[in-house]
Amino acid sequence: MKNYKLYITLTLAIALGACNVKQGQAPLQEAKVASPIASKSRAEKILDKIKNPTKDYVLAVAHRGDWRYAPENSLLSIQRCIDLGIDIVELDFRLTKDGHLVAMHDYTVDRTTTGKGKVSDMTLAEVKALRLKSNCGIRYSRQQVPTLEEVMELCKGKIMVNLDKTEGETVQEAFDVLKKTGTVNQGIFKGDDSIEFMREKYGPLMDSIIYFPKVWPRTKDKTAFIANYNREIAPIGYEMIFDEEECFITEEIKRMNQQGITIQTCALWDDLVAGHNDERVLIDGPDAAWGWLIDNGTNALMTDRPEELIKYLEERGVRNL
Amino acid sequence: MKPIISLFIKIGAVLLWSLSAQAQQKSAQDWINILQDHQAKEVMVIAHRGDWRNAPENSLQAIENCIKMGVAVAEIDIQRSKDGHFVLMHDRTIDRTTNGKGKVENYTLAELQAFYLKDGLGVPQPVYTIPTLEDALKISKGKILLNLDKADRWLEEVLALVDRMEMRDHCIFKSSKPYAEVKAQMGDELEKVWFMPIVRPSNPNVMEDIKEYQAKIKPVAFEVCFPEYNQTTQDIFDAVKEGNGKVWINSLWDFLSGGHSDERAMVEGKDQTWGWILEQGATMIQTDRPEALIHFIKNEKQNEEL
Repeated sequence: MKNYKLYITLTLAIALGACNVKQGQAPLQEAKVASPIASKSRAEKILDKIKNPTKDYVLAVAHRGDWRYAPENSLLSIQRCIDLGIDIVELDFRLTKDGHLVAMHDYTVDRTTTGKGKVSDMTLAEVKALRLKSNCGIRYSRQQVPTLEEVMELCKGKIMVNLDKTEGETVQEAFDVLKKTGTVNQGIFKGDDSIEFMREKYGPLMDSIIYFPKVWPRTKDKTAFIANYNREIAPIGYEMIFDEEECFITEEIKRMNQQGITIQTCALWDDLVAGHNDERVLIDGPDAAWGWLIDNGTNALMTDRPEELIKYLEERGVRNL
Repeated sequence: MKPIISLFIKIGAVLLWSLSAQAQQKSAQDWINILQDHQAKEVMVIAHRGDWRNAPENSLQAIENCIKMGVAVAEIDIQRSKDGHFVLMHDRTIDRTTNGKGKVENYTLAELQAFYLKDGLGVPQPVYTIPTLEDALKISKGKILLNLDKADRWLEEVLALVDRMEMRDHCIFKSSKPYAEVKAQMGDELEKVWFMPIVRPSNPNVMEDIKEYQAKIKPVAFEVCFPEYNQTTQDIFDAVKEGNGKVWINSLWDFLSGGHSDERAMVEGKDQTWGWILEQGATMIQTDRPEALIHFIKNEKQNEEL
């Protein structure tokens, strides 16, 4: 009897899934038909998946936007992620001399723009006068360095934003921008610092933001680090970094899977995922890298190859939002 | 159906599919034929520094990707090591594209190949090392043509290597100098290689320069670089075509193609940019977005003609 019920549920789910596909292709007017599910924005649906991770959905996270398509941390690279159907775009933000958060990975603008110098020594106007370079240093893009405000306006309702480099430094400034743009539920903060440090610095603000603690092989007293976070703010996700297939961190991933906590891993480089990285996808195929990570508890997969990842996840049947 | 029959059908289908895929994929010889045929409609896509979006610039993988995409010519840059080996590297130093520092000419090949090439984020990737020109020629043979940039400094030596590989017909050389200067530098070799002059409307003698080249060596193509499109630009296009040559346009940056750049193609639309370039009668386009340009030419342009 139980099996029978399960069968009906599955059939319904598949049928509903099929309807969704059809709706997606229907003209805009028809899609406006009000239903409790349709009224949720895409960003809200993504957040639901982060809060309640399920086996049938793996979140696709794009590192610095789709930087193969447009300069890293540019609006064009973010728009491309939205078009690809990426769930979370990971971007970096730094503070200018006059207090504006702008999307920039390095301390200096040297590598990614036509200018030179530290972001913290420049005003927003000075940063805006620069032009971004295509990756590999090929020059002459028309793209400018965007502010966090511009980024959140572009992403509003469409995609979650993982705010890197705010760490224990500019959480308050970033939060103010999210509040102003009405996107508090779309920003995912993250960092290496302990909850004690973050509480001391930000107090109750830690209860108002989405925060993924990062656990590294080098993190001191991991058990307490995690237990204290879970007790204080019960994070809905963690970013887990491991350089061995079997270690404390991979064991911890299994425990968090059982607790329904989202696990974000970063397939960017060898030593972040014990060798199951993007380059390995090219050499040994996606199952050996991305597939291994998913089989071992990843719910949110960060990549430098967003287009290929989405294709792979669709083939695996884990993209039913 | 019996499993064995079904298996045969599957094998047959796979064979057919791979044959048709091969039929579509052009060989180096096909591209050489197109290069010599000024009336050929086929557009030759030239990938600047290889497919640097998906592999490090000037890496073997960047060339392999070009071959798979159906690129006609991979543009690569040449430097020379301390012990006289030619390697692919754009800058004189290895600082920007590898995890090492210093001038190429101060390292031996063995030393150079111990470094890793950086990916687009500037992170060194152990699977990619600095390739030799010889290795680049090897993987390209029969499959793709190569535009050897910065090779003029060691032309004799580079040509010796190219001849040893029997690949002279695969290699394209260019220069923005007028005929007399290039002739003085290259001597008799100038008539024995694919040589394409680079011309600009800002040069007051541009029309004379083109005529002289046409009279002396009848180049198969001219690369035209123009910050803005004006009457002189149009005159250059016309003169090149009248002399039975191909027009090569770079869509890399705004100021090389009168604002008809790759980035504008992605932001504002491909018709206004690559479409415009094709309307000028250009049949060679150098791009930083080979995959998107080939897709545009194959699908959108072809459909329009039908």
